[in-house]
This record gives sequence, structure tokens and C-alpha cells, in this order.
Amino acid sequence: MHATPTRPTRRPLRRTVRGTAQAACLTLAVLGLAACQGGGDATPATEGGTIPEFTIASIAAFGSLDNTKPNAASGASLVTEPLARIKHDGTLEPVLAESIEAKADSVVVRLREGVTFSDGDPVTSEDVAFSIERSADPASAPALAAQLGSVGSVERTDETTITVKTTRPDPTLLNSLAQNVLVVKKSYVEKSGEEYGSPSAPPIGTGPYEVDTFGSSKIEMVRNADYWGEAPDIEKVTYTFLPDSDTARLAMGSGEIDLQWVITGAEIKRWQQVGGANVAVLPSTNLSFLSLDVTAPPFEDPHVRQAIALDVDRENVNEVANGGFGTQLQGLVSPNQLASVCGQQEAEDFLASLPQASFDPDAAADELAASSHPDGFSFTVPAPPQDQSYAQTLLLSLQEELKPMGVDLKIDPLSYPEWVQQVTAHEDLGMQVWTYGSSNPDPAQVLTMFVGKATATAGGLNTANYAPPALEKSLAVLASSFDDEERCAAAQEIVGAVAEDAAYVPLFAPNIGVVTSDGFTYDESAGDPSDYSNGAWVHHVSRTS
Amino acid sequence: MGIARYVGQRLVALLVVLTAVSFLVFVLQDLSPGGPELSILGISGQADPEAVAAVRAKYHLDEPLLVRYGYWLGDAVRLDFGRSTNTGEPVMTVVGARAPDSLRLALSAFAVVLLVGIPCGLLAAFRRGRLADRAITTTAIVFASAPPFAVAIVLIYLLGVRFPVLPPFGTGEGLLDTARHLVLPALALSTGGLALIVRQMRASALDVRSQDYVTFARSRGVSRSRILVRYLLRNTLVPVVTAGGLLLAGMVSGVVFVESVFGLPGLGSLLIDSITSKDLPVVQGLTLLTASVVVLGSLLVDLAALALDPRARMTGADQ
Repeated sequence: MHATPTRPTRRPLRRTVRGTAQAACLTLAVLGLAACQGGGDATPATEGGTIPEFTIASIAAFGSLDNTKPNAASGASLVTEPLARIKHDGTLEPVLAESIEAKADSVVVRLREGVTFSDGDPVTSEDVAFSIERSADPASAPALAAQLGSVGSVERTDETTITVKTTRPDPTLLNSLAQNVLVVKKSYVEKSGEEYGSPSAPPIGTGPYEVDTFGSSKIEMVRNADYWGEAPDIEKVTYTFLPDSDTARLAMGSGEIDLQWVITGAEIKRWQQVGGANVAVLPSTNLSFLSLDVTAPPFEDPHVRQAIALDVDRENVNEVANGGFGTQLQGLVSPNQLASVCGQQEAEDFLASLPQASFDPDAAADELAASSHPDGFSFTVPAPPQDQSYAQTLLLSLQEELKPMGVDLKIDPLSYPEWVQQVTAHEDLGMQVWTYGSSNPDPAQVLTMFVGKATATAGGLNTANYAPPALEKSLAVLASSFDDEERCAAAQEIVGAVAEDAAYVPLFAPNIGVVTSDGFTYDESAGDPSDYSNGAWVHHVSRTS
Repeated sequence: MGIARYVGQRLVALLVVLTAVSFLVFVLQDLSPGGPELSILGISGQADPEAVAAVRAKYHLDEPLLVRYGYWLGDAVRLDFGRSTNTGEPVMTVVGARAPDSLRLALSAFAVVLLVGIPCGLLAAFRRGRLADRAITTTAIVFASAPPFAVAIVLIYLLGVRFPVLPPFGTGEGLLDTARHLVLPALALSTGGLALIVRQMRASALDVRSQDYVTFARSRGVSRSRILVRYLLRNTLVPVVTAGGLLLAGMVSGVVFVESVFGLPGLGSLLIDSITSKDLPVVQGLTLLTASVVVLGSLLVDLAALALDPRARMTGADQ
């Protein structure tokens, strides 16, 4: 008997396999369609200036809303407020404090009356004293305490007055208190213990917003109905975690985020290209400069230092590295830092009068010829990576400019921790490339850190080892006097000497860009670089249409 | 009995791996410059020697390497992994808060790889040499060569901005919203695995299809779907399941990039942050977690292979 040949098996098998594959594709399509519903979120327009929702992007993931913890989340200052805000030109705007007065032996804070926490309890001087103490305690707040080193004891003089006794006269303490202390609710902090500031115990404060949800990728805050001050326009603020700048740009283009704080000049240019985005440019408080070690060859020779200073192509480097977003520095302080003790006009006049090392390769060659290394020399510069992208651009440019003179510049790329380590080890410093973030508008911070014998040692940041004995008196005056005229003269003497001796070669102060999405603007004239950290930014956002 | 011993042996091996890996990572972190004091105090804080000394004393940073490892190990065996130097929260809490995002992402990517990769691999095998096979194989090669973060950016642009059908970043809230937010990241993470599984499945299916018992079954008139499920699928899956073990290790590294690009606060971004800020307890905790996941995952994969293939079971029982 013949077995009937079966039908060819290929087709049905294929059909079954194909069927399975098609089923998989269909499932994906269905999922895709489900995803199709509701595209990007557009912020709906409403009446008046009210903004129902506003999303601000944050590069760091959210650890804690307690600003005494390292790497605390931004946004803490919207919930718990500072005593005052210091703008980058030194003007003080009282917030929770009605007034703050600085004297040689103490700082007296008068608390605003009638303010309550968002849970209804009144704010007392006990809460303020507690907040100052815990910020000045190295055990609980190591980073903040370093800025509040002169705080001795904190006493409640009466219901609304707090006296901070200082261990030494410190004219910068007022700024430091304003910038580092956020007023917290004492009973709540003590009850929450270590958990305070974490999602299980979010802060309760006096600020314009309260914490609504606190997740690791998003913090949502809603307006505090009982806020003592002027209610901001935004009803709900969302901080969202977005570490990648390319993704952030795409997100802003599609309306998912409404504000990005951009601190690198080169990035500002890229953000300007995002469709519909508005960029407000603010002055920054970062100072970029070179330091040259005056105690060791080759830079101990002033002619060599001048040669370097004359060979830096500041304008082009600013254009390339910062996208042109930066103002050229004329001295080791920014104009507003000097203005905070000398007044605007005098500060500008003084800085303009300083010997300016403009880009002049011929003059540089002359200086080198007159030095003890007329045939050139070679040296290595440690270059820090990341945000200091200008450092790479600057060094490559300088490398080229120095070659014809026989000076061989070698670049040693380091990781940031390695770079810090070699700086604090304080040996073989040579040339160092700096970007120093000096948020305190008082010039004392920068000048005492980079000039003088106290910091020309291991652990200190005076990488030029610049410590002429004649300047010690001025440094002391700057650090401890409360007389603005005296301090202005002292600051001028120090800055002038640095310029004369070219121990530090000032480069630029790069700008900050505040990028808002289509439909919003940021008030460039009222805005300040300190807005992001002290919470003032909510008051400077408005609709365009 | 054989299985129990097998699993027991593997668990002992797990402990050995965990100890070795934790020590290695500890030493590597020690060798790299800097310590948590830079992250905690900032650069200007380095100028204050008392503050630096206080931080170093708090975390026993001036003691010899072995002593410090001893402290850590002593606590770790009691399941006390210490507190993060950044937030002060217990390491378990920090890791636990971020783990669900990574887990959801990894499982979604895994699902995509299996649900799309296996059928496509079979399709390629059955349409061998034809257009479908060429298309699938070429796509697999492209996916294998493209790094996950590059694929991620392209996906965000195409499907999140240019034709906004899906959210470009973030985690979303609620079940449906979270699922929507997972589509793009899961796709980006799955590309490497897809390439692997498709190729593996195709090769395996071609091999099995040419076996005598399949030809014999067809000639006996066994139904097509029965051949597919009872004969083909189970036999082709064995090498694929083993390849799946490799998939795990690849995903662990891919997760880091994808999370960063999509702004997902999972374990990948936690790892980057804690390494750069030298948050040693968290890095150690994550290392242990990753090593455990890879080792236990391999164990599960091997058990699955045993379940699929009785021949392996017999040799396993002999050991």
C-alpha cells in the first residue's frame, strides 16, 4: 500500500512561525498605539499671570532637602527660607530677618514678626538660633560650617532677636549667614533625627512652597497658602532629574521642561538653538585665572610671568570655550566684588587703571628675551577636566603661542580628584588653571584664599605662593575690619600688587544662562546668579504671551 | 537530591564571588585619588585642616586598607552596609529607593528581547536567504554595533520630539504612565540583547530543523504546530537560554548609560554619582548587589537549561 505523500510541510510551518512573528509585531503596535494617546505635556494658558505648572530640570538626583547634607537637592530654599538674600553685587535683601546688623564682635538678627511655618506654628527666635547653630556645627554640616568658622555662640536675646557672637571680627559673616542658613522648625528636626530632609521627613518651612511629593526623580511643590510674603505666580513647581544635557534640550524643545540653569558658557550657545527657547544671560560669580608659582623656576622670574601674561589670547579663548559668554577679568576680583567695598564707579575706575596684559606676542617675546630663560624652557601644566572645558582650549592655544619663543608647554590631563590632590599637596605647582566659584560677593574670600602666607602651604589654595610681607597688613584689614573705606584701600593694594607682579593672570568671568521654554521668560534685569540656590528664581519667571 | 546539591554548590560559589569582588572593588576605590572629604567639604573646605581631619576620622580613612576592609566586612556579614557619606541614609534605604526603577527597566528590556527576539530569530531561520532573513540579520548587526546611549538619543529624537508619541524622559506616575515612560528606555536597552538572541535563535533553529527527528516527525504527519512547540522550540531554546546569561551582564552596564540619558534615577545613575563622590559604602553595596544579580541570574539560567534538556539533568545528577 502506498502511503499518500503528505502535503509539503514547508508552507504550514512557515505560516505558523510567521503567525507568531506577526502576533509579536501586532502586540508591539498595540502597545505603541496605547502610548500614542497623549503626547507631550503642554502647559495650558490661564488668566492673569498665574502659571499652573512649571518644571525645572536638575542635573543631580535628589538625595536630601536638608541643606546641611552634602549634595543636597536644590529647591530646599523654596520650602525653608534664608534669613536674607545677597545679590552678586553685595546688596542685601531681607527675607525672614527684618534686619541683620554686623558688628566687630557679633551679628544681630531681628526676626520678622507674624511669620508661621506651613503647619501653622509660629516661627520663633528659638528656631532661628537652632538653624544657625546646626549650620555652623562641623559635625552636622561640615561643608556649611567651613563657611561659618567665626560663629562662636548663638543666643536668643529676646523673642525676636538673635545674637551671634563671633570668635573674631569677621566682616564676611553676614554674607555667609545669609547664603548658608535656612530656617528650619526646631521641634520637627529634632523629632525626625537623621531622617530629616529625606522623603520620609520632608522639610516644613516658612517658604512660598510646601513639599507635595518627594521621589528620587521628581520633587513636586505646591504653593503655601499661608505664605507671609508676595505669592509667586507659579502654582506648582516640579523639580525633575535630568542629568544628560542633550536629553534636556530635547525635553525643552517638546515642552517637557520649562527652565534650565546653564553654568557653562559653551553650553549656552547650544541652548540658544533649541526651538522656541529664550535665554537670559546673567553675570556669574566664577573667576577663571592662571596662577604662576613665584617661588620656583621658571616663574619666579617676573619677566617670564609677564611673557606668559602677554601671550594669552583671552578674547579668542573666550569666544571658543565660552561661546563668547564671559566678561574679561581685569584683576583677581570681579568688578562687583570690588564694588561691594568700594562702590561701583571707584571699582570700575580702579580696575581699568591696572596694568592690563593684553594679547601681544611681540611684547611677550621681548619679556622672555630679557628674562633668565631667553632661549625658552619646558614645563607641564595639570589640566582639570569636565566643566572647565575652557582649560583645555586655553592650554592648547597657549601651547601654540609659546612655541615660537622656544617654550614647550605640556598638558597633563587629570581627573578632578587628582587635580585637587596635587593642588592641596602644594608641591611643584608651576602653572595652575583655575575656575573658582566665589559666590560670596565680598572680596575678602577670594583675596585671602589666593594671597598671603596663611594659604601658601599644604592644604591652602594659594597656588602662586604669592605672599609679599608688605601685603599681610592689608590682608588682615580686609579680613577683620568693618570700615568699608579701609577695606577698599586694602583690596585695591592687594589686587594692584597681584597685577603688577603677574602672580595671577586673570582671564574671564563666564556668564550663566537661564533658559526658559517657549512661552516663558526670565527677568534678566532683576535676575541674579544666586537665584537658583536661594529660591528667588520663582519670582523672576513670567509668561511672554 | 542532585539538584539540591547543585544549587547548594552554586550558592557557596556565590559567597566566594561576593567576597572576592567586594575586596577588589574596595582596593580599586582606595587606589584612585581623593576621598569623600572632597565631595563633602568642597574644594575651599580642603583649606581647613581640622574639617578635613574630622571627616577622615569619622570614616576611619587614615587606617590601613585591610583594617578598613575588615570593618566593612564585619558589618556586611551582619547585613549592616553602613550609611551613605552623601545623604546619611542607610545604604539599604538608598539602594532600595532606586532599585525599582532599574528593575522595571531591566525586566521590560528583557521582555522585549524575548518577545521580539525569539520570533524574529525563528522567522529568519525559516526564511533563510530570503528578504526577511536578510532584513532581520542586518538589523541585528546594526543593533549589535550601536552603543545603547547612541540608540537612546536617536529614539528620543525620533519618537519623543520629532514625532512626539512617547515621553522623552522621566519615570511617570501610575501604572499606565509608568509603562509609557518605559517604552523608549526598554527599547534602547534591549538592542544589544536583541542582536544576540536573534542570531542565536536563528542559528539554533537552523540546526534543529535539519535534525533527523524533525524530518522524521514531519514524514510521520505530526501536525506543524505540534512540531514547532514540542520539538523545535524546546530544543532551540537551550543554547538561547544559556546566551541569556550573558545578556544579564551586558544589561547591567547598558543600564547605566540608558538611565543617564533618560533621566531615570535608578541604580545606574546612583553608581555613577557614588563613584565620583567617593561614597564608599554605597559603591560597595551596589557592587554586592550587581555581583549577586549576575551570579544568581546565571544560576537561574542554568536551572532553566536543565529543565529544558533532560540530558543535562542526568550529567548534573552524577556530579
